[in-house]
Amino acid sequence: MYGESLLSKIIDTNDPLALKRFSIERYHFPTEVERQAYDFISDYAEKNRGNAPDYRTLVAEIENFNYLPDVEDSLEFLSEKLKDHAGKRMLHEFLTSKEVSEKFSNMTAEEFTEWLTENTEQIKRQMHLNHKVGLDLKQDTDKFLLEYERRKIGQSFKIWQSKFPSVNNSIGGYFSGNIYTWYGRSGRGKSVFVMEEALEAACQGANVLVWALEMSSFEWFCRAYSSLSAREGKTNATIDGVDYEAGFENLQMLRGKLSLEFEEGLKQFLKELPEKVSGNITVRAVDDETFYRRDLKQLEQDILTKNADLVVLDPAYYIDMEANTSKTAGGDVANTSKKLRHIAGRTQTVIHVITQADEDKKEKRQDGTRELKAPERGEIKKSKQFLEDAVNVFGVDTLDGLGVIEIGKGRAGGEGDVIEVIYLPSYGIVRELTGEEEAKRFDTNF
Amino acid sequence: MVKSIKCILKHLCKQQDCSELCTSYLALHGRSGKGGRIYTANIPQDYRFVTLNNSPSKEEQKEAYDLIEKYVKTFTRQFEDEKYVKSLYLFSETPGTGKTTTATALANEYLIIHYIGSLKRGKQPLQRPVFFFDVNEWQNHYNGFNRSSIPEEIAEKEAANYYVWEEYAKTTPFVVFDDIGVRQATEGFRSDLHSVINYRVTNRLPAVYTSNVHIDDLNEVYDDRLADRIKDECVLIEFKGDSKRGLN
Repeated sequence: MYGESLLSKIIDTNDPLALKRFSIERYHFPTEVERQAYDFISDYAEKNRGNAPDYRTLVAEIENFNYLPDVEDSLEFLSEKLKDHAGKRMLHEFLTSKEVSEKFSNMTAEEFTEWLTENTEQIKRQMHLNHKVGLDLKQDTDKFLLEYERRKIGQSFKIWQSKFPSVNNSIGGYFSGNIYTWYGRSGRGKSVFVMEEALEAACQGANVLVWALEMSSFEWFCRAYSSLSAREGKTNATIDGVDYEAGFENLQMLRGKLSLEFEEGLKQFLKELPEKVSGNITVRAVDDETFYRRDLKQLEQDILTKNADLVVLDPAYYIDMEANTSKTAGGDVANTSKKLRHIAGRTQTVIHVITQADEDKKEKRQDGTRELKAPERGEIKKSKQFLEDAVNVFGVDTLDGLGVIEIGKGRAGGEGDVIEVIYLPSYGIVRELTGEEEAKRFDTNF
Repeated sequence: MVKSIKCILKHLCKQQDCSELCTSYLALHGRSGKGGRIYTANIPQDYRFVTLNNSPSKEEQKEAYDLIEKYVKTFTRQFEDEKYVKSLYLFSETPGTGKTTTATALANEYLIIHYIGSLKRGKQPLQRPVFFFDVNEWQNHYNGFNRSSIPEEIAEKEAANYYVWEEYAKTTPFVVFDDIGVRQATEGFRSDLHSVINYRVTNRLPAVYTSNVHIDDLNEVYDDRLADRIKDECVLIEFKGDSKRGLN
């Protein structure tokens, strides 16, 4: 009924382009007669400079087509109705099909839900419901102003500050909807730097989701407690006879060998933790028994379930990659990285991605020593795409109590500032070497 | 048990709460005491803690040190745009008169002033404000890939070292060129050395040279062009006396 009304109105208004404008497809029409009429009108318009045929021609050509004169409803209304009916028809057809009952018997509940979602999503897409393509720079100003107001009150768009002041100075903090990639050689502190950023965001109120694919949760917790306690100078570690404000010692926690005094301190600290960290941190680590799916679908689900604002993927190359559809080397990583970007955008999260730089044999001098230096971007071979899809990249290195973070521009290319860090993660101390406080130590005139 | 911490900043520190976790100690020496900026500066291990005050050559070379102390006072010019630090040429006919010790003391002084001065100005100190450039060793690296029948992997390593040093020697704010002019140089090596020194002079970057060849005789070892470039804005300081090597 809506199909015939729509096609008749198109003839009356001589507007066959409406079929394209409203993304009307052949399969949206329920009867074969309407489909033939659709074909005929489209064909005719193509051959006749976009004009519609006369109604008499149409009726003569398509047997049984029921032309309805003077349809009052708008084309927009008719298209929407047509598509809605088409969607229901397709859904009905699909849901009552044999395939559905077969899959229902053979698959697990989780697999079935996923399969079902995928197929119904497909039908939804076929309905072409969102017929508006893109936003109009001149017309959609209301939408723009609404977003502006939301940003103004800090609703839609979030910035999480870095723990390192120079990172904030340089890039303004971490903006929701973006990927930030950290890279360094093996064992040079990538995980620790990113953990610091995750904890910092949690202290600012962020819901943090961590996929720690190389660490047990106990290990992650130890490090995190160490760092959080160091932020308030929780313990006075006695090192070489000097009291030093530091965090609970990481190694001793790992080994279960804190002194009795520190053990009590730790228990007290953990009791007070909820008041101190306003956000939440969820860790899924290698030893998590329910954590067997490690693909992007699961990640997005976790983000939605936990209402996450900031995500850590440590490291990215241990997640199950997407299929390599381009059939080129590295196509799987490229696909995964691309999808990850979409997830960051869709869920409005900050995603910190960790990847690894290759070892460099020339790095060491003849005596086996080396300098503190962040690797070059070119030294990442396997998962390079994660650098290219990030808005900023951070090359890191650590050595002998010191660390560096080199900020690079991701998509824009180019290298940037180097930030020096005091790096003593075993005491939870990882902080930028900043001048003012330290300068007070010296009474000099230069 | 208190482990004693040896730190080049100790005489300037008000707090004296030395520990391996001290920020400035880490920044200068690293946690092991053998890293940090002193390592990056390539200061030889034995000279890590030498400053003008504790330099063993101070007494022997009193006249030279009077000048050198004045020279060190100009190091704060590194924070000024208009003025710049000049270069020094430390010369003595015999080896072992304390030139290298003095040159490393100067490098360490420059490093200290750079480190504390940067902190006070709210800037992050450079990773490598000074570099100790052993000219002989650099020439060894050069020969290490310019002789025939050198295994490729060795030549590659030597070449890599050579060019990294060349880069440091050019761009580091303050460089010690230790023992310049002792060995005859090939045309290729001389031309590289010229390019390094030329770059520094053009960009008004100060250097301290030590040598057993008088500055006026440098053209005999290298050539006129290079010798003239070294003399540019460079103050000659003569070290007196016999060699002290092997006496203690």
